Amino acid sequence: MINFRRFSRLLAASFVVVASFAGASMAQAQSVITGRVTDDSGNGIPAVNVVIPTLGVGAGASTNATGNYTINLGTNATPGQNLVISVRRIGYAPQSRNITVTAGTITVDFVMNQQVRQLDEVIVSGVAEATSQRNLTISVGKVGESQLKDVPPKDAVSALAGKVSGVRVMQTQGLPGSRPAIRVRTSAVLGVGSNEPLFIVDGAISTNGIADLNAQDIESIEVVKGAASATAYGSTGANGVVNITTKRGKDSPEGKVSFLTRNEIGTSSVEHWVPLNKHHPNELNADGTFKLTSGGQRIVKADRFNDAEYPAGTYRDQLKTNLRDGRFVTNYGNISLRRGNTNFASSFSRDTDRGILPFLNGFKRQNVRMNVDQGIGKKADVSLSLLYGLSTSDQTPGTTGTGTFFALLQSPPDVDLTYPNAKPGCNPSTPDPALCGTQYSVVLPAAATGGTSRGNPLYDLRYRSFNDRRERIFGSFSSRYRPFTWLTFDGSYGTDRLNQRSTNFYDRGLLNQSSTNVELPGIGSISLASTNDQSSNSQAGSTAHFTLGSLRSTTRVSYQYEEDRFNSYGTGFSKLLVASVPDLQAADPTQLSTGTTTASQIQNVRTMNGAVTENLNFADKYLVQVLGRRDGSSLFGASNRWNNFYQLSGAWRITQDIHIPGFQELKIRAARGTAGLRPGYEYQYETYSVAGGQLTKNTVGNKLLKPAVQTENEVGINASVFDRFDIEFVKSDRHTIGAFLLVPLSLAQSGGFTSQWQNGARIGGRTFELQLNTRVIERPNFSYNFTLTGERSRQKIDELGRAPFRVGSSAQNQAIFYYKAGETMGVIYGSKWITDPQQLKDNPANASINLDNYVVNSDGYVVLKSCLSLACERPIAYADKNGSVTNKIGDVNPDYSFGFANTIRAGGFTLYGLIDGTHGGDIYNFTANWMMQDQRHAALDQFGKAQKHALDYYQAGLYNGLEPNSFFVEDGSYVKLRELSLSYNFAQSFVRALPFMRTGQSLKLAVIGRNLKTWTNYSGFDPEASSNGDFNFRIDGFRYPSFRQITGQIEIGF
Amino acid sequence: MTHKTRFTVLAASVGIVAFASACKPDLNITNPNAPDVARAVATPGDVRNLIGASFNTWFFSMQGTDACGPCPGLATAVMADNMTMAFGNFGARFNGQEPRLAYNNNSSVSDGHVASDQYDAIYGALGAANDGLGAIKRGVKVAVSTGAADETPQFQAFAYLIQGLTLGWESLIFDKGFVVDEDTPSGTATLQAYSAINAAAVAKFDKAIAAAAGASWTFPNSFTPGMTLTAANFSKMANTMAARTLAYMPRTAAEAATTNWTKVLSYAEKGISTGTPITLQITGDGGSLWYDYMKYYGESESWVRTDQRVIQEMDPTQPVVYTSVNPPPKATSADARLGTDWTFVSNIPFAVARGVYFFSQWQHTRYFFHSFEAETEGLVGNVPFVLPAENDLLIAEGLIRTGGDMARAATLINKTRVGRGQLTPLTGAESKNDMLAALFYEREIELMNTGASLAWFDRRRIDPALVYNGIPIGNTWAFRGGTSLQLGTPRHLPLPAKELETLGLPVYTYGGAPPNPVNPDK
Repeated sequence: MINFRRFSRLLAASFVVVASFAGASMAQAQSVITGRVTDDSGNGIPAVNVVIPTLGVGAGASTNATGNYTINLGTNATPGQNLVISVRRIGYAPQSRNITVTAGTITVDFVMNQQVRQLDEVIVSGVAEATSQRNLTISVGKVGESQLKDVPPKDAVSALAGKVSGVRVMQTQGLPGSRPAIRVRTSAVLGVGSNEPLFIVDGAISTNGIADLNAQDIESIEVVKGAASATAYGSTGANGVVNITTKRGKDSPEGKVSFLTRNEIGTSSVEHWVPLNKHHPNELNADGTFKLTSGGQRIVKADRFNDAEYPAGTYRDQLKTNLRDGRFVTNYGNISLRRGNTNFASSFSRDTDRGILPFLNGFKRQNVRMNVDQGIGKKADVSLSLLYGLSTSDQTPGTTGTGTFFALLQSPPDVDLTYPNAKPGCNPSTPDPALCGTQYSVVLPAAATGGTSRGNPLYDLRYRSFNDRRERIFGSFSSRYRPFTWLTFDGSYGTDRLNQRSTNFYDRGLLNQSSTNVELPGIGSISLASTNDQSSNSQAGSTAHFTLGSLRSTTRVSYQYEEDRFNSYGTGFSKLLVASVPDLQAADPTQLSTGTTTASQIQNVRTMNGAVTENLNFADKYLVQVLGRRDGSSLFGASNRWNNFYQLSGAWRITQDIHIPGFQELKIRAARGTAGLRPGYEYQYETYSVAGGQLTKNTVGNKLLKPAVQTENEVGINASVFDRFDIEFVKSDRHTIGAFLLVPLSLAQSGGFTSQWQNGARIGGRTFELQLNTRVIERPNFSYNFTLTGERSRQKIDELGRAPFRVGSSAQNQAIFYYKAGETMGVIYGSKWITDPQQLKDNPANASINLDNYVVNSDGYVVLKSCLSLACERPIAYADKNGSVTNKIGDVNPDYSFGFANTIRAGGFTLYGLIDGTHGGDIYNFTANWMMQDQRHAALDQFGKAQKHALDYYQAGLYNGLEPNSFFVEDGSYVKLRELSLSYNFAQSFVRALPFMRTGQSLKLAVIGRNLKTWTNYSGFDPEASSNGDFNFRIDGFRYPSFRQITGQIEIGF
Repeated sequence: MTHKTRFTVLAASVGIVAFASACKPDLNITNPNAPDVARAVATPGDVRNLIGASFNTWFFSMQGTDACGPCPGLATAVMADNMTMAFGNFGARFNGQEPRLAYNNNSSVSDGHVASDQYDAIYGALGAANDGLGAIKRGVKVAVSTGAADETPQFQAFAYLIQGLTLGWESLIFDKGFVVDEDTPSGTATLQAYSAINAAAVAKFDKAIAAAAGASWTFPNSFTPGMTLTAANFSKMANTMAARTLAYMPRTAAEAATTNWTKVLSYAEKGISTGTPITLQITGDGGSLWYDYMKYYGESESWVRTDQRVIQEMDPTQPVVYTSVNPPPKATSADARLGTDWTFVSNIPFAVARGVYFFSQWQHTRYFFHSFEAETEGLVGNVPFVLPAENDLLIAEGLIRTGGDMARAATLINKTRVGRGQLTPLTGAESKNDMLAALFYEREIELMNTGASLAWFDRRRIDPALVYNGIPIGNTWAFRGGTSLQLGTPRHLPLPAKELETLGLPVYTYGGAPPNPVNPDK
């Protein structure tokens, strides 16, 4: 058996060797192309990248300060040969021109127009070779550097928010270092597996996310939207593909080193607060203190209303008191060089994001990137891209779930968390231990919490030592060899390597967290965990061109091999024998923590595939692409190891045939394709769980397991009108067959196996997308343009190969979503409180009741008239004729979502603003649901209300034992000012007059805001709520709130 | 270059790529993380492991599972007003609410685990025992490793015991279930009533007892840490468990009157308190594999308290339930165990707003060393699930109910009544009802927090006529319209909704008192 990893590397390396020999034998230049590139006013444009793509990296030049360039063609091109010469510069529409090579000097001048047009973008994803958007037959969205430079995105996913139609991005939590959830069009999964698209960076497939990538290194991002376009990615393409290209130095001036430094500093703060109950329901003594039982408990007033004011000076908003504004700093430096056959770009960045929690340092990251392209002779070139990232975080994972934010939101308002056991007379500025208790006590006083055992969120933050260290090497090497002008061979190797380790240390002597031994030193705990992942993808391919009259054919054949080796292990002990030694040796060896703490996992995955793409272009009018791919993977069941994918797409550029006044371009296109999702590692295997050397049955194996296969039909229209508007409208219909499900089994019937992974469901989806790019006003000193994106998606479970089930993801596993055949995905089920007494009669059990005994209360809910405003007042759950109280109470799918980006340039000023949002779509506010229990939510506050309700109405009625109910379903519509920046670019003459800036090229000052303002009726921290990164799980449960950032930025170029 | 040449070059390059594609790498990868059936029961050692481990699974079905904690035991303990807890965890608050609510048989709520986890653990353990017996039938010899000493007889006997334990537990907790063994073809079993499952369980115990008769093997105690199961001890265990399975099956006092007490007596007479008594227990290993969640939570004062009903039995001056936030005077009792097995805690951890009926100031601490509030972080030491006293009391009950030797019954009850409680001895001359009342009192106090769900089994079968110490212990809740159990308390659990949905059957439930939905409670 050939070792395929080695084989693939050899294959890639052999191209380099071949390319080197080829380069060595080249003779010197004979033909020369020269020219000048100017703007529409006749001014020379410097640093324009002039290339002849078919001749590779070496065949190109940059314009000098006056806009002139010269390219020596050498013997590569022979007289009479037709070549395409292209010019590119950020901020200008790229152009290409056909030339015929002659001996001697050929002059080719260009006049470039400012602003990038959507249809002039060149796309490299999902196609046989780089193709202009005009000639594309499939849907690929693109975000270029011009759309990223005004507000540097926090990460590569944020960079897509509101900018590409069909792509939804949601910052589901603000935990520093986390990145947003993303979904392209509709879901292909039923809560099993991820909605995330495939991420590729410079040809390397990412297996560990792209949180480690610095978005400032990004040159462009392409999004391949679904199976109709992503067939080239086979069994990984159904969720779409995000293909990222980083900056390579090819746009630098020839022969000069460019240096750019960008520094940003600012603060993070919460914009929108959860409303809190500011009153209490208890009896007070004459002196204003709480009246207590002999057991030390507060006594609820007879009316049981939360309308009494706290004793003077004791109420505090625990959120505003204890969350702080965090510092955000980023330093970025980039050096780039273009000289002859060499492009070089390297960057260094350092980011600090402290977040909003006290005591913690938050997230820190240091990145180094190096990209090199080297032309070898005229027929070959090689490229190297390498990222090394190191990040650390001291944020305990608990802060994302029911840890810190749960405790903060549930903390009684009359407790100073820094002195939680304070007695009357405690003065925090001169604390008397007898009155104030121990600082940062671990558990809050029982009287204030109503007896509920609640921990102090500050104690853990202050004393627990948590460290997560992540090291990432992510890079690729590629080579191309063009033995003939019509034929190119290419090879590449990409790798993604992650080393991550975390330490969670709770020192011996820190206070015991159980309520019995509060204030007594505890025995401590320690746990360590480590993850190592090493994946690679090797590819070899060839691309050939044929021309027959007006018909141009491009054929690509490729082979790819992927391998992933993952291992993780962790262990911990729940007792330390020695204090202050965060070492496993200091732990009590008999107190091993089991479960998930002590465990290990090894996963090896091998996948290979071959693909053939045929692209036909008849006179740039009629375009056809046919693609076939065959995937074999160790993740597929033994009986279905190989699976095929296909695509057929075509387009007609109508305006090439028919002149339509006002239309510069009108193209209609259609595509049908398939792409898949791979099963999880363990899905195919029959498993017994092993713990402590003992075996228990787990899943029944499935040898028939296949990839989930999505088939998508897509039609689209692209138009450029009035020379100002680029419009794209797309309709996509898709269905995913064989979506994965863990099907529960009757243990009695299965002999003890609990479940089996199956290709159990069929999911349908339909999306309408609109993208409008404009150049409304374009004048030398003033321009205005905007981009508008819109999407409407619908998704449905067509078939379900198991009993209908509830699913969800949040603290306490609130399974509020219901999956059954024929049901919309993302529908919330629960108790629906009735709002009209007549609804009572739908339940035959109520046939004899007298509706006069019921009344609608101030919340709009029907209650017993005799109980209105009394402790027995309860909302009533709607029961149907069968007595079932489970009803549809919400739908998370928005009617539509949109993005609206505006750029105004006037003189040296640039004002950029991005607004995005959704209309419709419900959120289940689980945070508020649980806050009913401790009477912390503002809904309980009866102060000043005309009709009051006793605490029981909330604490027993609406709280409903945390069972989902309609009270907590809120409209999630929002409009968000996501990005806003005002910047000023100083003139070069001004820059060079500054001290130490003699070689300065540019100076930019900017004020930047992110998530500045949200307009919404949603009452939680932020309407961008979802759990587990799944857009269908819009349940908000004590998340780390995402926050507003306001920063200042200075950018200097040399 | 001509098109022909181009085509030749292209074909050659396609050929190279095709060649590369044709050299298929090995896509068969063995999962190193968990074995499959072939590896799980391939060798004598595997079969040994499989059968042995099934005891651990069954134990968790009874005392609490990892996913749910002490769910099954604690939910039934609050249903029986034996323990009390007002927190939403483990189904404790929901099932302890007054007036009672119907059991929430819903696959989507966390309380759904109350039934489903123990149901799954029962059939998980049974499946493993059946697989082991199947392998033995196919001729696999059980041994530590291939060629080591043959342990087939003891593991075969143990697998029969597991069949009896799991089927027996199913018949005590649920209203119906499946009887499956090593001879049942996959997917053919049909649902049967609890009484039929109970009979099947007893038959399996008989097979286990027969397999151990006269044998001299000892079952390796790594699978049953805390117990050394010689063939003789094994036989005692099987007899006690058979007696329990029969005695605890009745859902009402009327059913209890028709139980074959002669048969119960006959098993119990060969049980764990005979000869040199043994305790059925496990030894906690700190939480790795062996631990008892009922003690871990049930003995922790910040989680669970002993219900006031039990305190009233020990001190008849106490109310049966709190009616206001103001606690009654601290209980005192002639029974010394209130001082030795319980601890008075002035603090009450439960919210007033959830109902003062949850309140209690008494914490059971006899097995506190296993609770997580113990200094060692608990989960260590020997924790019993059947005490010899339970077998003694089964003998005594058999004697009383069959009209047997009342003096001997008194002696058996007095062992702990006097020995640990320092109460007045029974003479045997008391009336049958007084003897039964003292016996049920003894079961409540002495067996507190040993085997899960014991109090619920007792409450559903106790005679309403029984009065102890002036307290109508058989008719405690008459003042609220109930009897031994509060009105609307389920007397057995429905098949879990998750299982019903998988089987395609309608979901049903039991329990619920007015004004809440009322379903037949049996």
